Amino acid sequence: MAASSSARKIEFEPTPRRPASTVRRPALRLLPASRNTLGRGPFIVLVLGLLILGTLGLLVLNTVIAADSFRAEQLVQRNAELAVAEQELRRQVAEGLSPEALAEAARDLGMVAAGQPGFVVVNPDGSIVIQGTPVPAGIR
Amino acid sequence: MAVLTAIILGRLVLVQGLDGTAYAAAASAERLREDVLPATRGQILDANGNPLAYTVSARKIYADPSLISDPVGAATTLSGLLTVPVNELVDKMQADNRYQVLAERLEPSLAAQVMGLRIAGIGVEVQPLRLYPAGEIGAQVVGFTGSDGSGLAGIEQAYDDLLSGTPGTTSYEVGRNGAVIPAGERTDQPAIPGGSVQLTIDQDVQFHLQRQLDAQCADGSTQNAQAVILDAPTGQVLAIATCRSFDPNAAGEADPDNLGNGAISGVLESGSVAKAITLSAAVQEGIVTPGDVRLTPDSITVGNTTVRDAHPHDAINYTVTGILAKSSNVGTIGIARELGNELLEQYLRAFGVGEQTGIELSGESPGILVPHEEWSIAQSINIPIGQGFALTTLQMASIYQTIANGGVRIPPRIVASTTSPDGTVTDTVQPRGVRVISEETAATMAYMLEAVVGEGGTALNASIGGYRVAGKTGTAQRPNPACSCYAGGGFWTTFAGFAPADAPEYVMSVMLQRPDSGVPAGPVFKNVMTFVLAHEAVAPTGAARPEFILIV
Repeated sequence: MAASSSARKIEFEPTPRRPASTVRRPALRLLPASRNTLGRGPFIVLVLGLLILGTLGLLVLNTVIAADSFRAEQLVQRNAELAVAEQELRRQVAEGLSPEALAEAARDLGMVAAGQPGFVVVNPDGSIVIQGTPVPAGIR
Repeated sequence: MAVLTAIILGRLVLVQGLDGTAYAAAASAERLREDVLPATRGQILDANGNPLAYTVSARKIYADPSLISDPVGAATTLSGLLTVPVNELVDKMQADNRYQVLAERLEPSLAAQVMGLRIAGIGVEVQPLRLYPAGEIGAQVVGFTGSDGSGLAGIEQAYDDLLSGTPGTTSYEVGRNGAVIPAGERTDQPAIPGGSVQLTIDQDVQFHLQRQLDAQCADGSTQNAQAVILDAPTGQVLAIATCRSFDPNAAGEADPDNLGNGAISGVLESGSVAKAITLSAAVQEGIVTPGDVRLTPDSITVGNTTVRDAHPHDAINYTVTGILAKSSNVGTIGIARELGNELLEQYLRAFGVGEQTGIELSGESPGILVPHEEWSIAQSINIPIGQGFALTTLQMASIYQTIANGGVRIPPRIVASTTSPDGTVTDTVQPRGVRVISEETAATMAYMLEAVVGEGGTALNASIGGYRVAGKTGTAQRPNPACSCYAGGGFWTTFAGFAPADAPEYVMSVMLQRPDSGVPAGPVFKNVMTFVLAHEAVAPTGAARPEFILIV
């Protein structure tokens, strides 16, 4: 229906659009045959190659991710171990710093509490004054 | 065929289109795990940054009895490691539920050793553990935490909000075997650790003080001993202790009587230590000067109440300094009667009696002081000599801090600074001082109080070689709670003072509670103050102790 109507349209418009002087060429013509004479073989190889590369790439990526996640897990574990070790060392330090522990350690070393100190005051003229009454250690 | 296709398509639409989100959510919920990340509780430090309380991560070993095939074998293997008797472990492993705690507060390395045995039905849990490396030293200040980790006493309680921090959460996707899916959805809301609190307490001084008080209470008859040491210019607490402390690492096993901080929560009648208030008021009001002479008999009777001096004597011409140095009750009451009850009450309250100091610890007592309108005649002659009103050992120190600090009372504080989780340090704002007496009156009082300590005074036993010391002894009868009378209540012996007298650095108050009045508190002051002066490297001023005229 549509075709016949357009055919009719052409009949109603006999005058061509292009000027008469132009060379009349067919609306469609054959292009020269493709110069690619290698055939389909290489293309298949290329696609296959890409496929294999892609698969290998994915495999490598997956392996790397898996290896990394193992490593991350190991590091987390190591971190936790080190944190525990640090915590235990800190605990020893804190316990060692406590007055009770220090007093005991000092006693074990045969140390005694200091007695009352005396103070040596140096005057501007170089003379000295002893302030306070020094008491030897161990005497209270 | 078309019907079958329609059914399948319909189902597809139903599953994918309409119920899709619900199924996706259910699947995601199946994969999603959420863990609570506990916040680490903040530290409590002493003035020099030594930890008094901090938190470590410990382990708890539990058993699921339904999974244990050989309870006796498992118990035998674990008993040695966990240091729990075999039969106790067997009982737990045969219990009729699925969660039995076998051991708590374990070192992580020990727990790892236990888990290394791979006994089915034995599991491990992380458990925060609060440690107090100084043990009982300062425990009544620091306090302790309950099994849920919240503060139950002392600073742990008062600063619980700051110390406890905010727990976080972590949610992540896990596969069928429980392993984390590496590229899965993951959201972390990290825990915010608690802030820390730094105290003004010096743990070395606290240790020495605790030892001295414990030695007092170890004599078999001293029922209680308390002491407070303040920094004279700032009112900050250097040490505060009550004999028989407790180990906060095992607060649950401690004697509940020892958990409190008696030096702020208990009250005592200070006895003659309070004469410093009466005389400060009298000097400030221009009623007496140190050199004024008062003919003083050995007893005074007002109404039907008679008060005597400690030792009988003929009437003596004491100077006002002499009245204080010899601790004459009669002389002090005579001066107080010139002062009047209203003014005396005014000065007692100005020195902080009957009012909480506002120290950053819970359970502080304001002391007991009834308004002067309600004083009986007996009270009005006993209050000037320190009987008939009650105060805490901390308040007793604060009164002498006022005199040592030129007449300005700075309410004592025990927290030096707090550090918020983001590291912002907030120094405690020192309360504004209260001018109680003039600088001149304070100097006069320091002079008179120095007469007490040394030759001629009542507190030769509190003098420290080379240093000038000011202070006052006291003895008060203790009311007997059984009869609401003084009979059989025992005694408080007290001492409050400061050193060096002419350039005060440290103030100390001491209270001993005993069935008799035979053991003075002065030697405790001497012993601890000697340590403090040496420890804080306070040199003697070098000025000679003045000559005092006590009797003319």
